[in-house]
Amino acid sequence: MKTFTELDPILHSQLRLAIMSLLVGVKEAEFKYIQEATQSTNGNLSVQISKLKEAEYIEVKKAFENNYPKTTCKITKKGTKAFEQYVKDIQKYLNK
Amino acid sequence: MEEKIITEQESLTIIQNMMNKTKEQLFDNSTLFLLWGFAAFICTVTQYILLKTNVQDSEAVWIAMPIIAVIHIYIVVKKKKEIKVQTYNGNAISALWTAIGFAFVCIVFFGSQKINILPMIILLYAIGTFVSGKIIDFKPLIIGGSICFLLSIAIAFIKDENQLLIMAAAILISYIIPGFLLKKEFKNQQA
Repeated sequence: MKTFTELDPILHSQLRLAIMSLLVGVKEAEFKYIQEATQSTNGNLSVQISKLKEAEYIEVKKAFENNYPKTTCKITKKGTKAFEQYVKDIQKYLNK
Repeated sequence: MEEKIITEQESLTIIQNMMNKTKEQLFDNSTLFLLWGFAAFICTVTQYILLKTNVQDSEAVWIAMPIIAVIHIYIVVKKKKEIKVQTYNGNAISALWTAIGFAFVCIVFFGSQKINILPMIILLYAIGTFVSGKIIDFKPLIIGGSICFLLSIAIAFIKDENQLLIMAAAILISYIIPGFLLKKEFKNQQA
């Protein structure tokens, strides 16, 4: 039986989980869209996106559009698998 | 949203809330449906009137279509800059209509070989609207597409310029009416 501490620590965080839940349903999303949807601050979101990127759960593309920086995030296969496993673990925990 | 320790129940709530947000992303494709719908409808009715009044080269009205294609590209490029999220549904619909657009261009060449292209055009309307309706789960498009399948059969039993009336009905049912309803639905969602 999984315990609370055995849940993926990268995903078991309010904002990182929200980012992953959002990205799992779309092809890719812009930083601004994620920020609006999660109602997070610029700095906090940047930090959590970096952590997800380090874990290779998401890909981050940086580009310029009309002289403004544009950051786009996309979930990776590793990220999708980790998310699915996380949901299974949560369900197991709640069903026990 | 701040960083804090969450319970399993809270985790599920976050997942549900976020997934619902992406589900709510209904694309406002109504502008393109209405643009093509009105352009094709006006051309069809004009050609019908010209044929009835014995004007020669009535098919020249369709020269307007490449102009509409340019307006379409302008709208899509402008919208692309505004779109902050790309959904799988949006991509599927875009790929479907790109393929149908290519098919329309191919069909124009069949027309030059004196083949009746109207049933083929109505079939493409049927496929495009029916599949789009299924992807975004929007009944007016599904119904419009289904009726167009029947109209593509009906047109085979109708002669001469009266085929254009069936064509106009197909455009009204598959583009214009669902286009207005889609716009209304999108506005309600944004409210």
